[in-house]
Amino acid sequence: MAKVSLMVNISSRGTFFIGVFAKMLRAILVVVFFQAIFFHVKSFAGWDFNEILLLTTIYLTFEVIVIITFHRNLAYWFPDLLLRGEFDLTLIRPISPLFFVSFRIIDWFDVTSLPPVIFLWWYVFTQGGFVFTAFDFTLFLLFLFLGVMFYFGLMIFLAGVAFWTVNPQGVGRLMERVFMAAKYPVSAFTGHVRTVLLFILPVSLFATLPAEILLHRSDPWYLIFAFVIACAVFFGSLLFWKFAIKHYSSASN
Amino acid sequence: MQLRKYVSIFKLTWQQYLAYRLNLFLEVFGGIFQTLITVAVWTLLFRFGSAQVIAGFSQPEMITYVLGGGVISSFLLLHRQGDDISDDINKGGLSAWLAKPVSPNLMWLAKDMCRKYFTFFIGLFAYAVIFWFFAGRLVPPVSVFAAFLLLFFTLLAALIHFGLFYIFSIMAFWFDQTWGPRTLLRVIMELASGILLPLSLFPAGWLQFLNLLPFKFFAYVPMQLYLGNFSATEIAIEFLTAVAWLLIIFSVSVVLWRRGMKVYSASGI
Repeated sequence: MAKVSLMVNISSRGTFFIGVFAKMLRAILVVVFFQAIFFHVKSFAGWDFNEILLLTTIYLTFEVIVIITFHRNLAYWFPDLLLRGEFDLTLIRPISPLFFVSFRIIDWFDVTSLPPVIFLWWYVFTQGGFVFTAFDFTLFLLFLFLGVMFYFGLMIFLAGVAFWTVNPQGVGRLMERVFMAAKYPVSAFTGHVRTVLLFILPVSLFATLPAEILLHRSDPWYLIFAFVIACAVFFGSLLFWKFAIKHYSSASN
Repeated sequence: MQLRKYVSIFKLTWQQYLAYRLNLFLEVFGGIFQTLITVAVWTLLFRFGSAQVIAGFSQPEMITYVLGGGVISSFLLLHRQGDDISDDINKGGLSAWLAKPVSPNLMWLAKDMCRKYFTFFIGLFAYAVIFWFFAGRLVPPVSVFAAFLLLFFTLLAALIHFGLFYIFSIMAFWFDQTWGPRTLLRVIMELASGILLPLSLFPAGWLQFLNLLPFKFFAYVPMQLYLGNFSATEIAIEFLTAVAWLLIIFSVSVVLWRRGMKVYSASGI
């Protein structure tokens, strides 16, 4: 599946390379965005520039992981598959339908966003002035994984809704915009915004919490909450997917 | 008589969008969510830094700028811009339009404007609630003329926006896919339009460079006009710059369209 996706992507070389440049530029512009703010403020609600750079690096890493793998598959390509009645063929294949629709198209185009992300990791490690222990890093990886699992669960829920609705692509767009909030240190917010971003729509799981683990600022209670909510959403979404498949009455003839 | 055809296309497209209104509503709602987060960020920065003014913006001015930019964004900055044009050329749909007594270019313009107005109306209702919530913390336009300038420059921006995506989309005459250049355009636009943060926050060198691009008309210029931050001379310069950009875009479009039609093979029929 991955090989075929790569071949499709590079079949139109001109547009592919311009797209690659655009993706790399986008990662750079996220840094430029914060740099422009730091020209006028000394700290971002208690986060200095290097800490924000660490947060941005994690945010971009998370984004690359989900975009390359399941995000577009579940948000855009799966509803399209359903609409065209081609999902029925998936059901008779000797492969898990959820696995197939989640990873059917590996988006190699977005792999090209990696160089600026790798550069940022190199900068954070060598110039950021941080000291990470092996334990910090293991915990960071675990919670980054939990964040991905949480997002995967959300996307499975949204994909499952497609069995009852027509063309729910707007949900994907909405999720992308909501996801963008993760580039800010959301635990720094106060009031209702903080409550929403930490507990109701916990985008803090995507970047802020992993960054706080590396910066030794994480709240143990919030780590427990993150673990519980990630597992609940992921396993709940699997049950919902099974329920949705059971009630699927086929779209092709 | 000629115009009626395009009004009909506009109306038909409106009906199409009504059929899939939830999709567009969710897309606009996503933009509103992003705008509200940006407002929260600036509120935080003003409160935490205890600064009264950041890059010439007071807190009410910044909130007004971000929310106003959000409304313009619901009008202009949406996904899948230019997909119709690119698909029509690549999949041969253009052939059907060429056989009809309509200009495909004006047809695409009518469709694009329809989409812009549709999302604008969705956005306007949602933002009306937000404006009501923020009442008292927003800066009114410095004059009726400033409000008029905001609307006028936003309309100019809509034409520039359509023109830019049109140019990148009709590259489909030569390339199988055009999403690469259009993605590049969107990426640059997101920062260079000033929708996320006013361009005056950038260092002088960056500001000079960003001022050379047409993207500033998508949020920065209209909102600065609204806030009365431009002198009469600057307004005149911005107007002439916008017109110059429109002329450049129009000229490039005409040349590309004529050359494109020579190589158009009506493939995909």
